[in-house]
Amino acid sequence: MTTITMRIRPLPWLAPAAGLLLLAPTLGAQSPAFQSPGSPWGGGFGQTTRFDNDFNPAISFTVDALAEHTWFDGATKDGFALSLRRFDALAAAWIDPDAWAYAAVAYHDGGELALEEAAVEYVGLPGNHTLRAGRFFVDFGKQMQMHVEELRTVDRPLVLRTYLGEELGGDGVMWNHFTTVGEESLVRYSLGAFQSLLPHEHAHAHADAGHAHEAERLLDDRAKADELNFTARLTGMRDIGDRGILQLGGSARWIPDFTYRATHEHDGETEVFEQAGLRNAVYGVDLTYGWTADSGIETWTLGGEWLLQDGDLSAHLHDEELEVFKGSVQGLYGFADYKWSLTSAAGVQYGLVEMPEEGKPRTAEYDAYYTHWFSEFLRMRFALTYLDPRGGEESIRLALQFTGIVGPHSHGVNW
Amino acid sequence: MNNTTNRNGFSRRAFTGAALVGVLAWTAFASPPRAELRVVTTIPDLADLAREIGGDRVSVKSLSKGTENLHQVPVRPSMVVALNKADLLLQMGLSLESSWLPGLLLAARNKDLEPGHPGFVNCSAGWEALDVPENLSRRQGDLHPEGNPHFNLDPRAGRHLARQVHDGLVGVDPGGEEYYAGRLAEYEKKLEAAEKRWAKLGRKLAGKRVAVYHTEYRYLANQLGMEVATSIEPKPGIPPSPGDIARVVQAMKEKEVKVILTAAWSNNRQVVDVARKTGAEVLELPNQVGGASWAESWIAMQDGVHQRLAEAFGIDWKALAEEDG
Repeated sequence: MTTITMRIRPLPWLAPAAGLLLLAPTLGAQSPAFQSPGSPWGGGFGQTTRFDNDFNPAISFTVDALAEHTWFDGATKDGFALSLRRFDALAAAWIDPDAWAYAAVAYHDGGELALEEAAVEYVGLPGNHTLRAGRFFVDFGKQMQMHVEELRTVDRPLVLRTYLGEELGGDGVMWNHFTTVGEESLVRYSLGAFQSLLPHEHAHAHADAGHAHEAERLLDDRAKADELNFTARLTGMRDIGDRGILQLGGSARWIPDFTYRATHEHDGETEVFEQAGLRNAVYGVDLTYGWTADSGIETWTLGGEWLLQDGDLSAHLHDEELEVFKGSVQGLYGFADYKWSLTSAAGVQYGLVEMPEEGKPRTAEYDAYYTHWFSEFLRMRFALTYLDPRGGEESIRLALQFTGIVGPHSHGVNW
Repeated sequence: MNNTTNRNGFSRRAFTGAALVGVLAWTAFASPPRAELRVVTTIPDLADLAREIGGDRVSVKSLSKGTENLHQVPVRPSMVVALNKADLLLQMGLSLESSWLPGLLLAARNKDLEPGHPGFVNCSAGWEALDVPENLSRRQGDLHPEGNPHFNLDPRAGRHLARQVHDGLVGVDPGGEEYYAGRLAEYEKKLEAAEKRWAKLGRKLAGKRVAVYHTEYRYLANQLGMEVATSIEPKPGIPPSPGDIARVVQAMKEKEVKVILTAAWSNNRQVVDVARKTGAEVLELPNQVGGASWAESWIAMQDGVHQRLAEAFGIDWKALAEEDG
């Protein structure tokens, strides 16, 4: 895993990091026009100067703040939580007639600052082919390609964050192509190869009293070609009459070779337990229907996604032996979203997930939300979430989410 | 998990995957032949003009519909297909399409339509825009840095746009220059007759006061000499608060405004609320061609808009037309 993640005190680092991002275009433009022989080569096309830059990238910042109150049906303490959940800084620009590049630095609640995305997309290939390289969110379904604050709901659907992680980014390369079918349909596919697509967080940590030990997933620093992590997506999309759009897609993510490692501290000594040669795959099928009124403002969106996770799913240390849970689990979510004006939308979402652990306990998630846009750049959302881990501690969360965008921030066609 | 078995198994999958990639790549690079001049426009007004001037040398598709809010046009797969196959793209410009067209163009991957190529025509080139902001701040609402983009509703716009469409067609199809010039001349004759009708009605409408919801009728009102007394949106793109509604009602009463102009997409409960409190008439007008059943062409839209404005102010436009014979 090569994620550049620092667990640090947030605020002292946040300001300089944001400043660095702002300065990045200028720093990049500082390769001097004149270089003596033997100096690092800076291009020498006369397109850069040292202290000014007429080719500014689009720079934007997103602030996502959350106020929530959660009631637990168990031992966990109820209460309020206020947080700056995320801060994203994004810069994007064309860097060549056939290539554009972007970078996103994000601060997460909890004090992590991370370079989430930094990639170049090359569009100069013949036909409808593109190539993306760097660090970026992978092409899986329709809800994994965006930062969480850009979703319809406060959180990503439970099945996605359980099987794929809060965000599914990786260092790699992705080939993308689409073809037209008639005058109203498109078929697109992509194939990606990545160094690592393991979730950022430790997976399924377990701890017994007095013996801290957890199992985490690891990948080798270097891999053979068939040991890289892979993604694939095939999706078709067509007009349904004048007002409707139907999209069907299938996605896959393979991790063909990884290791579970757990440590066990006992009497001041640390023992390490490992199981190598493990594999994990996630497959998904998504279906989305969108209806738009003639005004283009009133919309209905109905959709869902079904996921199957297969292979080595989780591990925990038991009697000084690392037990790996193998098998298949599945989960799904479905939603209905209605936007009735320029400024207002509401929706509901239901999710059901078999957790990837022994016994495959199920957890259900119910969401209802109302979103209000004060303008294109300021949004407020009320959300009610009921989480029901069958046999576990239920919870109800009432959340108020404020999201503000500074500067130009938009996406291409997300499909 | 047995490592060896796993790796052998995966090698078979890798081979299958590689074969699939090869087949997909082979089929993907094979592109079908293209024969006709395909013109794509961002709004139906430009599509109407492209049909008028392009005649049977072109096939034309408009990306947006006549009833849609042009700032928020929902993207459809057929739009990507149309742009992918098009020879010429006609856009209004002045950032009217900035929220949806750049993303579509990027997805469509048609280099011929990129700005700077003959296949891309910005029809606002040479147009003198109203409402160009003096400074750019989001405190002023959703601003268009180059000015108000709704100039398709200006009665003078047909002549400007027709010439832009003509030049665009000649740019990608020089062999049809004579044909396009002939059709442009014919269209300009129709425009000349229509412009006389509109000028006559305009003289009667000059000085009349209207309220608007959004700023799309600024050009129309400006050209007719009408006064936009107040706007229900406090700032472009910003929905009104109850306080804003009260301010608008007060202003309309003070200035004795009896007509509210609104588009189909903005004929909402706030407009109804203001109308109820002031006793004003709500006049729903099209934003672009196809925005009403009678607005099937650009000239028909302007005719209908002028007639309905005249009716709203009690002007007998039929009698006025007959006066001239």
